[in-house]
Amino acid sequence: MPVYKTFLKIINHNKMTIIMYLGIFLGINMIISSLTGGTRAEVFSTAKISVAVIDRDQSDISQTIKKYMGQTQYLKDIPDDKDALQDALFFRDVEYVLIIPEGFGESLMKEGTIQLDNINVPNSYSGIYVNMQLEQFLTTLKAYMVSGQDAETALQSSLETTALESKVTLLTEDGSLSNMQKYTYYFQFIPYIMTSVMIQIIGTIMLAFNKEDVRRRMLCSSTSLKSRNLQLALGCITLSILVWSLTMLISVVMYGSTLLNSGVFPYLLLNSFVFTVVGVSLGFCISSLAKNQIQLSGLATTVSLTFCFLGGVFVSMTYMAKSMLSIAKFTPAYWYVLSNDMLGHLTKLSGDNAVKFFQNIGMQFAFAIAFFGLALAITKKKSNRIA
Amino acid sequence: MVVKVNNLVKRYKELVALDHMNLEVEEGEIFGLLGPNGSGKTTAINCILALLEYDKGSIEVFGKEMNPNTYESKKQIGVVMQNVAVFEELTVYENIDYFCGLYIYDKEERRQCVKDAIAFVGLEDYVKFLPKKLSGGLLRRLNIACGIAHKPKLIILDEPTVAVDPQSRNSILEGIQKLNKNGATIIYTSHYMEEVEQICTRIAIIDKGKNLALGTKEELKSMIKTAETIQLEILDFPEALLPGVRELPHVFKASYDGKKLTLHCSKGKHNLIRVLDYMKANEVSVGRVYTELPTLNDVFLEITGKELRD
Repeated sequence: MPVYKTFLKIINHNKMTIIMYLGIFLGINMIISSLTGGTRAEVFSTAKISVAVIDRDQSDISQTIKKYMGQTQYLKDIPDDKDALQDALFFRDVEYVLIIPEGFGESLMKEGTIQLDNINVPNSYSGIYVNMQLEQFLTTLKAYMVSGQDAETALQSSLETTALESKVTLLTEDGSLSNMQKYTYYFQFIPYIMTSVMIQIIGTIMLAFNKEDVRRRMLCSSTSLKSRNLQLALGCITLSILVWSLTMLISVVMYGSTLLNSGVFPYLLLNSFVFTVVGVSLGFCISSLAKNQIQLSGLATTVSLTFCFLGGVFVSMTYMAKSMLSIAKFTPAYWYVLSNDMLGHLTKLSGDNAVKFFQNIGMQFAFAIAFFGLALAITKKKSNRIA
Repeated sequence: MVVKVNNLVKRYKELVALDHMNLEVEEGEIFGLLGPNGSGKTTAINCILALLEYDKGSIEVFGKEMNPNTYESKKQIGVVMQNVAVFEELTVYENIDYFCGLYIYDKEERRQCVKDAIAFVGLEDYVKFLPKKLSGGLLRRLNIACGIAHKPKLIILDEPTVAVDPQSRNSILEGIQKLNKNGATIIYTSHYMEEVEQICTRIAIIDKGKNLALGTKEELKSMIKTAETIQLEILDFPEALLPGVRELPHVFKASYDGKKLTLHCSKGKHNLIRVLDYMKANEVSVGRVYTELPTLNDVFLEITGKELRD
């Protein structure tokens, strides 16, 4: 198999370039995946802002309101001075200032009137939220008082009631839990690595074989075009196995037992391997179009970025418009990401999920066959009598 | 018959590259295709190698019609392209081994063939060199080694000496003659008439895709009227004497360019003596005298009205 052996020799000749490409892309993936992992909202926690309470009443009731504000926000001490308050708001030491007017407690006890003042940063959402929170507290207080409790008891009851917290569980659109595993982010970027690296590496090797004079010389030989293409395809497969194995090895080193015991590791392997085959066939196809290294680099960048952006590798499909998703279906990365997202939420693949997974695998295979077929057709057309 | 080209027509849109070309290459000969650049030599070779579709005619190689899938015939053909066709990433040895491997699958047999080819072109000291480290002449030799390593019966060389220094050129020409002595039939294209004249047993002169003349060099030369060209260095040759020179026996063309009198003579004896006698009789002082037999350039000139290098 002279063509296959030469393919490997050219890989060996270009080994530094290949290592460089792989190093850069895998390095980027490792950095991005470790930074991206966990940035999605997995745990709910209430937000707090800095507030100041100016208590001009100094009653038990005003003190209780101050205590409530301390429970729900970060309380800061600022003197009751107009300039000091303005400075604090200007420099964002506080975002909200609550002013409890003198006689507020007495008025509340006698008339049940609740009147508070506030100053906040203009057009601040947080100010609106604090207002709502405070209004909720005062409404509760009023409700207790209307029900017959004295002001002191009503205040205490309101404090207890508003201190109750709801348990928040984040759900995704389809209702499954949003606990995406961290390794999923590593696998998420594999389409970008495989398309970029495969187009670059296979393209570089194929440029040597597709050089006009060499190609014409080979056409004169007694080795058939079919045999040559098969040997080249075998070379591509060997290369893909090497690159894929390295990529998977790094994933195991990075995530260890978490990945190995995830229950979906074999499916992640399968999904990534099938996409590697897609990358190889795409590389084979693009290289039959490129005439030189500059064209090849341009095509590699354009195709890999387009496929990966549309396919949901860089931007989650959740944020993509329906029309965009319809276009994305024409990229192999879309089907890869669908499976990867699904596997990221599962500990076992079965039932409908298994069917969906293998459908996605089938779609990726279809793309691989299409790209490979296109490459063969281009090669055949080129070799079909050179002018 | 090794190669038979019959009535071959190849058109590039309006341009007729090959115009009803006929060729027959016999076993064991060095067949030369001589013609100026753009005359159709490479197009003819590409058609013979089934690299190019043609519009009309037929091509047989080793008795079989040639097409892209006639691998049995291709197995017996060695090709040395006009441009050096090697892998920049492979060493000299690896390149020869690769191209030989496209024909010979047996490892041991191939190893011997590669060794022989390296020795044949004299690249023993460069086997581990990458092509970019080789000089132009050595690259040409590598190109030849890649084409002949599988010991083909028919070797097609398309202008293998273009841009090669005289020393390497002689080495290449000697090598081709050696290959022929070893039993290979050679088709050699060139626009250098000296090369074709030096090594080819039969020559086809082509121009504008047409086969103008075919035969041995002697046959070709005998086709033209000029049998001898005489040149005399004369300063201030009286123009009035020119008609007299033209009337000398066997002289059919005479011209004077201010320094040199050129006479074209048809076949006959004592042409030079008669010319010198005429000069003496007319008291014309003659400097150096040259006489030469017709060249292929004369043949081409007489057939087409232009020089081979025009």
